[in-house]
Amino acid sequence: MTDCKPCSTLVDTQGKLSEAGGTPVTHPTAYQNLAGALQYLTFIQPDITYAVQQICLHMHDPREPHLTALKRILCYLRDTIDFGLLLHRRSSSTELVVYTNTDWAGCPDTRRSTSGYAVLLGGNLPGRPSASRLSPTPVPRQSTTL
Amino acid sequence: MEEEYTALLGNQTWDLVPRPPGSNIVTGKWTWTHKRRADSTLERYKACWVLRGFTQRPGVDYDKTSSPVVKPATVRTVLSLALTRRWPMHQLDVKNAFLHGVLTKTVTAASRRGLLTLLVLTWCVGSTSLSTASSRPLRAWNHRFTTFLLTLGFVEAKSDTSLFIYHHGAETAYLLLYVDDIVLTASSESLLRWIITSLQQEFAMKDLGALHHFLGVTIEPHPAGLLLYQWHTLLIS
Repeated sequence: MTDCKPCSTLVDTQGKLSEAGGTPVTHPTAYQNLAGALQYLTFIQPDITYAVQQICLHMHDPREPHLTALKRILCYLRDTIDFGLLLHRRSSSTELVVYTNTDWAGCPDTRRSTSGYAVLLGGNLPGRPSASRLSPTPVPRQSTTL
Repeated sequence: MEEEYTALLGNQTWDLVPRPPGSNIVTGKWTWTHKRRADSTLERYKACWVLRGFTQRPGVDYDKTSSPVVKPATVRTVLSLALTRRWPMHQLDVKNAFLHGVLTKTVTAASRRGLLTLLVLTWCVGSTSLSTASSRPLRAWNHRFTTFLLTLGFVEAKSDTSLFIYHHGAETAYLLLYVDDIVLTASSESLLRWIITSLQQEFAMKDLGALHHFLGVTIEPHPAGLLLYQWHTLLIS
């Protein structure tokens, strides 16, 4: 995938991946390996956390649409390969700021809601990474609740 | 190989014994691997005596197999805190980490002819002299290190078992443990020195200076703070 076409967004904002759509992929192990590697990468690229979490939901039975979504992340990474995570020394405060959002009943299979949060410590600004390789220090997580 | 063997002997890894009746014998062999530095460049070639784990029997030779790992959020939090407070951050490396662990179960391993030339101690019988090898895995090392930290006054964090916190008056130190990778940060240079010295008295440990690599992530000073990146890993995969 080193020669793939770079992509500036990593996930389709319209709709979520359904569990059973499409044909099963030919090499589920390759899918699982890649998803695992991406999970490791979220350590310094928190911006891909949500997309990776969506991919990992289908580890047990990967289908073609899931693989397409996974490849999209790789294309995004191709574009952001020189991104890093910058921890700011901007202020001396250790103020804790938490952002959270919920997608109500968004799951196409179970109609469960998806919630996510980002925790910021010490005045590091939230937001998307800018064009340079600067990016904020959120600690995003995804969890699903009824 | 000789160096590794000397380390095994120096740590009193095994005792040679006659074959205990009815015990399971775990076989072992020497392997040759590439030892890489924190930034993945080749450091040296290294020999390693391994037990062939698949010859063990669950419940007899081992029961638990996991060892705690560090949570990314914890690492980022500790780095962020240390950065904001301008604390010195050091990276420590443990030599032969697994050999420091004390195994609570006895594992009996066979030494084969190839190894025997080196293993001639008191027992040398044909091609299968036996050694009660305390192969000292990860879990045992983790336990021993943790126990020592507690005696120094560290407390294990409730949220993450790989984070250790030291509080004494106005002084604070955080220690992150991931297998044999250690990140240590303290509110003063003198406290940091004291902890490193204490650790070095107990374990064979190298102070690698200011933090530069952890969990495959390169950590670099930046005018605005600290830059973490992983381009190397990305290019490989």
